[in-house]
Amino acid sequence: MKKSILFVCALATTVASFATRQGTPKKLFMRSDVPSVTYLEAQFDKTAAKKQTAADLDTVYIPYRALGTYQVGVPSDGLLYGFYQQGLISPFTDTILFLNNDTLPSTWYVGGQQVAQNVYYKMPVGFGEYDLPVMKTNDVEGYYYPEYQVSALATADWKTRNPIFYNAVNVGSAMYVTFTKCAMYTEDPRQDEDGSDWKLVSAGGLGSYSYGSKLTNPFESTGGNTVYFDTIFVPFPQKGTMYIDHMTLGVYNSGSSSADFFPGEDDHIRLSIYQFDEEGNIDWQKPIARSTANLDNFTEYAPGYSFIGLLQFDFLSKDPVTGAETAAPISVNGSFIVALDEFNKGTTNIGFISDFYSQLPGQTYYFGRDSETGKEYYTTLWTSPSNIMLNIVGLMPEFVAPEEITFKAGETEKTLEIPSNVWDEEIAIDADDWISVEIVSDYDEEEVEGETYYTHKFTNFVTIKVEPTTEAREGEISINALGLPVSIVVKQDAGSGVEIVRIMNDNKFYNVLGQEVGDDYKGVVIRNGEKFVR
Amino acid sequence: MKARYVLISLAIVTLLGACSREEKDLFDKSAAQRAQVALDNAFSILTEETNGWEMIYFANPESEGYNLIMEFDANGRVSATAKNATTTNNMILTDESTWAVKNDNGPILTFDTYNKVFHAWSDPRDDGDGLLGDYEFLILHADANHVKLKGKKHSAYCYLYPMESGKTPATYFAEIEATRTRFVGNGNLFHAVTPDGECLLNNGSSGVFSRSQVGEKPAEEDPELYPFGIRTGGIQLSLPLPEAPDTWYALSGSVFANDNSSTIFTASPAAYFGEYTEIAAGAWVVNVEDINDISKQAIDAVNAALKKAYSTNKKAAIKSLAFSQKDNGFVLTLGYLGTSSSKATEMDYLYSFEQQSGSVRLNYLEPADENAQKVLAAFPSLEPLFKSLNGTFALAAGDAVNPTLGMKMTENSNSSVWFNITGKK
Repeated sequence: MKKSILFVCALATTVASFATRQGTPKKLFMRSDVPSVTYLEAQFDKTAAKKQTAADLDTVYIPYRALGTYQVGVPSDGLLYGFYQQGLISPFTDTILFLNNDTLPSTWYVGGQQVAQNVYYKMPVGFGEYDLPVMKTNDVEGYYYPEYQVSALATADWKTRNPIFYNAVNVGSAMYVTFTKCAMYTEDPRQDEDGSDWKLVSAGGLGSYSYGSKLTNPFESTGGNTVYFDTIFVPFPQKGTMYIDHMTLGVYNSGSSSADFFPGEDDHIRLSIYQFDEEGNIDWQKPIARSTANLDNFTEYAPGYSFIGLLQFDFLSKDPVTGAETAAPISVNGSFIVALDEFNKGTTNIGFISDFYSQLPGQTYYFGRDSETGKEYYTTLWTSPSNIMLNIVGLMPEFVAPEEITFKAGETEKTLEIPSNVWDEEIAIDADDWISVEIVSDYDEEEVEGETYYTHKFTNFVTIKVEPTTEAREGEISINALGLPVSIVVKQDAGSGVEIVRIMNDNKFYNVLGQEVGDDYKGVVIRNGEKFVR
Repeated sequence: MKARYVLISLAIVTLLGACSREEKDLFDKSAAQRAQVALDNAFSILTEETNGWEMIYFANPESEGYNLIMEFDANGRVSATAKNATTTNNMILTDESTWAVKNDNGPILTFDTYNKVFHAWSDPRDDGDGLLGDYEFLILHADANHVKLKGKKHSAYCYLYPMESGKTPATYFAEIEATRTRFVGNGNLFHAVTPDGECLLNNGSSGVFSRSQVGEKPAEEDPELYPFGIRTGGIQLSLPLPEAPDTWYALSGSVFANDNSSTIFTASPAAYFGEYTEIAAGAWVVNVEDINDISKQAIDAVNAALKKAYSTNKKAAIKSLAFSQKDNGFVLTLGYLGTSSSKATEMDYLYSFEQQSGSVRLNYLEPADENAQKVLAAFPSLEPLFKSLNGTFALAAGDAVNPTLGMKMTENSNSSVWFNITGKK
């Protein structure tokens, strides 16, 4: 492993030394895979997840060997991470889009065959379409080093289903970048155009590749070569809501131990989260959350020539009254991408950690659950030596729900207490199907001092539906509240009906059946959990 | 000349004596007999204590001391009762098994069949180590008042004392828990004052003191650890401190003292306020409900402003004020409910802090950062509140054994300015 790293580094250094000009950074897309679905399932401990506390939450997996090391790009470009749906791996996960604005590949091979220029790449239906034409220029400087303005070289020709997915980028005659162990998967529910299923051919993930070292600070005007890798993992059709209060990023620096290269207290990295809309588009100008981490509290694990460490990004919310920024979780309701889009230490090579470093602690994080299908979306970080450290800690520290819901079962009035910290995906119902509890959340957009902030606002939609029955029944609703499991026993007397109460705290009026009513409605109305008679 | 004769005579007598064929025993019994006597002695001491024994069990030299009730009977049965978070999930658990004393290079007390209470520490569990506890002990000392054991494998010292009569396990463990809170709750910090010097005993809440020099924090790497156990009458160390040979420190007034009171453990309020924040990294939480009138009025004013600003949050109010030492200085952390009805927003405000003889001087300086400044700008009534805590305060601990349980701070020149604090760690 060390040899391969050294070899790659040597290649990178060699190529970097050849570079003469810095081009305009462009966005690159790279998609990666996961090693094994069954492995993820094996790693996921649902019991543990139900006992989560803020200290040991379980959330997100970053694909195995998804990426090596990267330079974080300029603000408009950068390193992107997306997240995928466990158990539904798209065959597109290993499609790689590569954009190199300096040391460009002269030839791009997919499956051993050169791909035509002006290829296009389609993301899965519903997640947008990208058309990245190859724009090759013949502007060559220097003896060895052809220089291209842009080269977007795209996908494996999935329709041909190459048995071995292999991409290589030749950069002149001095360097090539190899992506290995890419995968196609067996269980993808979608079908090829001819109606046949996708089948797993190989799995593993993106392997080693190299890029220029001696990376140039993109903010500097001097030359050098910079290769930008942006990455998107297949966004998944997540329906649950994830709450994130911080992310932890593993950081790697292969630069010199010189202070010029070492990130220090004056340096920072910015992380942004973008969310796909329903059509699968992303508004790159409108992240739903941003967080900047200074490197002064950088925790080093391996000081010296190369070091890695953990960098925590806290998500902040701006108090509309004071304007002060305070820690607050964001909610992500759907597919999203995480981007490292600003790093002021361009001379430092920094990025996600590859498997070369194994001493980082492995962690597992719970991610989410589709309440409709019951499908769980979660990921886990490998505890094996192949760790990519980007942990998302989902936390729901605040749930502005009604504190209790009162309903009647026969002559008996029951109170359902709603814990303040409810993880909406962890509701278990053991009472046949006669009770359901649904908690829906949302987030609001607020404008403070001309800036838009997105704050979570959980709409606190709690519905209890109870079908009348002629039999006495007893059930239990257990709601896990991040370490505070709450069980509510619900009893129903024989022959009784049960009043249905629907409570929302959105200041709207509802009747006792939970239906929204207008201001002119007369009778018993419920607003924010309180009953009124009008 | 006379002296020479005397010496010669002595030499002759000595040499003649050396030729004697009779060797007088140093001991009056054989080694086997003596070992049997020791075993019999231990056996009878352990079994004749009708109330059973209070055992302070140190699983290994780095383990906290666990309390057990041990009852040995002459038929070789032993009952062990424990209640702790590590092995019994804080439930009172009793189990019976067998025990014996035997000779193995000394008298050995062995718990020779599995006891789910006692062997919980020595069970290797899945990892092969478990809690690294012993179930066989060398009996170092045994009399009716005190038995001292040494773990055969891990060499931790353990201590047994006769149980008080008429005390049920529930009563005993409730008393131990209350005593533990009183002695070392909230991370109480002790000065160990000995004839050979003074040191600090930190991190008492963990059951293992970290020893450091006065004014210094415990070493982060390889701290000097001194496990201890709690008895209602005092603190039982597993190993003695370097400065003092004793392991038992009985509560005497507001200090813990060894037998001749030459060494004491004390939590002195005079220097305690600063040490608790700087050395023990604790915080002093101000009671915002029971506070002097000026501060109370200021709090009410802030609360009114918070309720007005966050009108949709019925719970908007100050939740906490706490002094602590942070990287940027000595701060008062304001916690309030604003946008959130459940999670307090916290902001730091810098104070100057000076430990004076028997008192503490506090003086509000400024917001600790930009966010705190914004909050202060939005709620200017905070400043009178912060300034109401200015002054030079005399400290009066409610219980001098552990000032973290509550101290009243009274302004030296104006006794109407006071507030109460409790430690939090």
